[in-house]
Amino acid sequence: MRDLEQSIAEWRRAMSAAPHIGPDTLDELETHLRETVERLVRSGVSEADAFQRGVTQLGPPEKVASEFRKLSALGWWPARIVTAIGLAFVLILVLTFSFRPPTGRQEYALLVAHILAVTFGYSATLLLGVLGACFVVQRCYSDFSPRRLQALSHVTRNFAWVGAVLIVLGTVLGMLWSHLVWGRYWGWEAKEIGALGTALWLLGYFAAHRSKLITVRGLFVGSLVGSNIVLLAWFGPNLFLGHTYGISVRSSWLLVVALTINLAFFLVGLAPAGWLRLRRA
Amino acid sequence: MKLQKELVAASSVPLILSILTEGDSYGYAIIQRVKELSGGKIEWTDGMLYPVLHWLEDQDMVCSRWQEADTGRKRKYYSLKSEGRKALEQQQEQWTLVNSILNQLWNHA
Repeated sequence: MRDLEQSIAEWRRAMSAAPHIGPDTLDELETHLRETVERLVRSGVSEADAFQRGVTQLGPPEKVASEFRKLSALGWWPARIVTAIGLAFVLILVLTFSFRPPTGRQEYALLVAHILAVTFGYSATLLLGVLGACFVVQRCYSDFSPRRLQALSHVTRNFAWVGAVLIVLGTVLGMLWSHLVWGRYWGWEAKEIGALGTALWLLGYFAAHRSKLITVRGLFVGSLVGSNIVLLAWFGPNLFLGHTYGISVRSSWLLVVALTINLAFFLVGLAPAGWLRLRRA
Repeated sequence: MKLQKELVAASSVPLILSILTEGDSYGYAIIQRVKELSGGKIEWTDGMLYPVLHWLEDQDMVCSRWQEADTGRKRKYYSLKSEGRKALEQQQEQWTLVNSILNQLWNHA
C-alpha cells in the first residue's frame, strides 16, 4: 500500500507540474485514479499493474493539460481580445517612439520613457475596466463557474500588476524629468496627483486581490472605478483644469460620457447574476 | 468495431448530459456507464472526460460539489442544471434528425 501511495504522490507531482491543472482538478483526477486501481485490484490485477493501467487510461500530463488549457482565462473571448489590443498598443507606441530622431539629451530620453510607462500603465488599467464591463454584461445572463472565476482572477491581477508597476515607474521618471527641466521633483499638480491617485488605487486593488477580501466579481466591478480614476487622472486636468501638456483632447463631454458609462456598468455589476435572463423568462 | 474519435468527441456532451438526467454522478461512474451502455465500443481516455465536465460547468449546464461517499472517499459529483436540460433537448433534436436522415438514406439504398 505504501508503494501505491508513493506512486500516486509521484504521479501528482508530474501532473501538478503541467500547466492548467489546478489542485481541485488534481484531487478529482486522483480520486479517479484510485477508483480505477481499486477496481482492477479487485479483479485480480496486481497493485503495481493496476496503477500503471490507471495512469495510462488517464493519459499523459501534457495531453490532459492541453485539454484543460482550452478552459483557461484566455478561453474567455473578452480576455483574449483585450490582451491582443494591449499588445498591439504596446507595439504601435514603441514603434512610434523608436522612429523619432534621437536628440541625445537626457531630458528627452526621460520624457519618452515617462510618457511610455504612464501611457502603458493607464492603458492597462483602462483595459482592465473594459474587461470589467464585459464581465458585468455576461454576468447579467448567467453566472461564471468557480473554475472560470478562478482563472479570470489571474487576469485582473496581471493587468493590475502591469498598471501599478508602470504607473509608479512612469511617475518616478516624470519626477526626474521635472527636476531636470523645472528644478523640482513634485509640485502637487493635478496630473501628478492623478498619477499618484491611480498608483495608490492599483496598489490597494492588488492588496485586496492578494488578501482575497474581495470576490472576483468585486474585483471586476471595482475595475470600473479604477477606469474612472484613470480617465480623470489622464484627461481631467486638460479638460477641466486647462492643462496644456499631455493629451490634447478638448471635448469634455466625451469624458463625461465615458465616466457615466463606467458608472452605469458599475451599478449593473451590483445586480444578482443572471437577472436579465430571469426577467426575460 | 470501435467508434471514430471525431464521433466519440461529438457525442461526449449529449452522452454526459443524458447520463446526468439519471441522477448526480461523478467522473469515474460516468465513464463506466458509457462503457456499459456501449458494450465497450465507446472508450474515452479517462483524462479527457474532465475537461468536458469542467467546460459544461463553465457553460452553466452542470454544477459540481465534493461529497463523501459511503466508502469514505470524497468524490466530485456533477448535477444537471436547467441550462443543461435545455442544451440536451437541442442535442436530442439534432441527433434524432441526423439519425432519421441516415436511416431514410440507408433504407432506400
